[in-house]
Amino acid sequence: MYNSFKIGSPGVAAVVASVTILIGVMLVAVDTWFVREFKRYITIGGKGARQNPSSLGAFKAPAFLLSVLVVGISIVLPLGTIIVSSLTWQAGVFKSENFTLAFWMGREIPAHPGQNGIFLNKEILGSALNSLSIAGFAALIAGISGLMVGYIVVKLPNTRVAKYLRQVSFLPYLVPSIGFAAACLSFFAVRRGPIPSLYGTLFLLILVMSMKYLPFAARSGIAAMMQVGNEPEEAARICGASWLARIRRIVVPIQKHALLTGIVLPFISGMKEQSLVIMLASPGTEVLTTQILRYIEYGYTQLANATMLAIVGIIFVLTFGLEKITGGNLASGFGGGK
Amino acid sequence: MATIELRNIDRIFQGGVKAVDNLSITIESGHFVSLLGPSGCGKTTSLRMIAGLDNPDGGEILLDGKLLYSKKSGVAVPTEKRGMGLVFQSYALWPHMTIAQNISFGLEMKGIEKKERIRRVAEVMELMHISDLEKRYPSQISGGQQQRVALARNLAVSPDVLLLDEPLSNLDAKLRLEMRAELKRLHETLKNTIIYVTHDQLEAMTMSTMIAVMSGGTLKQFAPPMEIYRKPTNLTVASFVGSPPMNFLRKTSQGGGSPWDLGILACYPALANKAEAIGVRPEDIRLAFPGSTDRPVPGREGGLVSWIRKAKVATVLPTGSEWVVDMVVEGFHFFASLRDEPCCLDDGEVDMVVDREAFHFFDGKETRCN
Ligand SMILES: Nc1ncnc2c1ncn2[C@@H]1O[C@H](COP(=O)(O)OP(=O)(O)O)[C@@H](O)[C@H]1O
Ligand SMILES: [Mg+2]
Repeated sequence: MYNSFKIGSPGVAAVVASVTILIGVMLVAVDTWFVREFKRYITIGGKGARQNPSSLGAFKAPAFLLSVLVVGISIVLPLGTIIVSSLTWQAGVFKSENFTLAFWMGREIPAHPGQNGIFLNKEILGSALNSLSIAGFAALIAGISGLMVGYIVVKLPNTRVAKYLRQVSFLPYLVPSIGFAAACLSFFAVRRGPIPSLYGTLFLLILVMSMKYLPFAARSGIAAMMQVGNEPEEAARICGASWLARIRRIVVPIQKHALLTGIVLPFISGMKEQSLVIMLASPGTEVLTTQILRYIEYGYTQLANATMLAIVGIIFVLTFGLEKITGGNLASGFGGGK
Repeated sequence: MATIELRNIDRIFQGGVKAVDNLSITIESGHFVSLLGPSGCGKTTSLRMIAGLDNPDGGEILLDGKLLYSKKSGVAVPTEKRGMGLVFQSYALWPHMTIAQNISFGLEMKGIEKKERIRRVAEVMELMHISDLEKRYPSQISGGQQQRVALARNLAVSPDVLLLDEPLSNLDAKLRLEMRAELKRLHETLKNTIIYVTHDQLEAMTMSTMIAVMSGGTLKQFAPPMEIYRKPTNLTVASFVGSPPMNFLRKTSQGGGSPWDLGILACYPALANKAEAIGVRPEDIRLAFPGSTDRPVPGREGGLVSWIRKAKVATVLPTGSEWVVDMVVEGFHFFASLRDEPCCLDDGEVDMVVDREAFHFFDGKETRCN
């Protein structure tokens, strides 16, 4: 689709997009049908959950080895390769004179006209700020709306509103990111009534990205709210708590981890997002991923790799920092532990 | 003062399930009323409508003569303004708060100052014997303790009306008995209005001042416990209350050759054409054994003091405190429950004896007619 857009045949792109949407609609129909078949089971309720760790016994050693292997192949190996690449002039040559920090903090890197190492590179720093604010705000919006969707669906079970919300919040998932971006681009390119033209603004990117991640956030929001059910809030009503007090003192604290997950996961995806921003980013709203693409186009492999590492670093620091601050465990938002 | 009145309450769920059907009942202030009925008969739904967590599709709910809900007049006082307590079947404690915080929350919402809150929380925890749990979280205490906390959470704000939805159903038998006694004692001291939902007739019988028997969303009888037991006004109540359940002879089920009433109706001329079902409680049946000296007095002066028939014992089920005897009279099965161990059953022949007053008669509409 991206190619057909680039070579100026939007018709082909439209056909491809339509087909993917059609397949998506069928998937939603199947999903709705399946969900109807299942009763709602409330697994947490007011009784609190207990952890029951069980010993792995004889499987301890093999299980440990397997997890090391998985982590090694999926994380350490690729990450290590990229790190080494960003520190060498020439790939695969392990001589001391081949190692350099130029791609990180050098000025005017030889053979890379006009480029500084990424820590001193104004464009990269600006893009990093853009990436952070776009992914950050989009994740906040998606996460909070996702939990709100969950809240309403649980509050009004078996109603049209709930059904409608469920499906609408899932719709963006069906449309390929690029098609979605293209649609938003053409819609917001010009002024529409009270909405000014949004083309070239960060706001457009935030808006589109939060819509893209809403399906995930809504799904996890619905699951989290269903697991707890309506009773904790009803008990608070009995105690005379107003709606605001219930949200603040009961619903949000109970859903703290789910909310955190609903924000952090879109944030991570948003930092790595490519297909969406490729269409929407413009000079001034460049993000880290578009910078990577540009570097690759120019053949600046090391700079591309260093930028990629910067993304990983930002995600890592922010995610675990947030976990430390909130005292939560990210994985628990998925319904395990604690 | 807290009198609750339901007038012609209907509740129809999506899909057409009529959970509550034209329910009218007045629960007087200070009473301990049980809503008793089998699972799915609309007890929880009724309770939730009184609390305001659910709204009727028709009818009115009043508290002390003031409308709480009426679709017609557009009145709907929200739950948080009704000031009632409700103990959920699942307890619904807040998992992120300690026990003390759980109990204190309602006081906080009432705007009571901290010093008083701490005092009240300590007092209620003392009352419910959970003082040592103060700093624990709901996931760290047992089911029985959670039940006490759920109750304490409601008692802290001393509501005029306390609603309980099968609060003892998750407890083991011993704890259930203890809690029954405790709840009854609590009601006798606090004298608030309690509406207690249960499917356990023993709970309803032992604690309530009034029992409302429900079935299929309708009210079947509303009376003091002993009246429910002694004079069930219809067949549904008669067959639901009592353990082991009442024995019935029905006009529709013919025995082998004998008349359906086993000749009982011959002694009740006034009922002879009306009654279509006859009931007798297992505990109202006595057995007279051949050779025993304690022979019943047979019919006198044309009437009858006791009704006696030859019966064949099929089997005896000892429960520990009583003996349930399954026997057959002219093709009809009866269960009798005896305090004392039946003796001399060698040949399986006994006399079945029932006092004249012990029979329950029901007409074609299943309504009591004696
Ligand atoms: N939210 C609901 N939606 C649809 N049907 C319901 C709902 N709640 C209860 N019902 C139905 O209403 C009937 C009465 O339920 P309930 O009041 O919970 O019974 P009980 O508490 O006496 O066991 C049942 O048939 C039940 O399936
Ligand atoms: Mg119930």
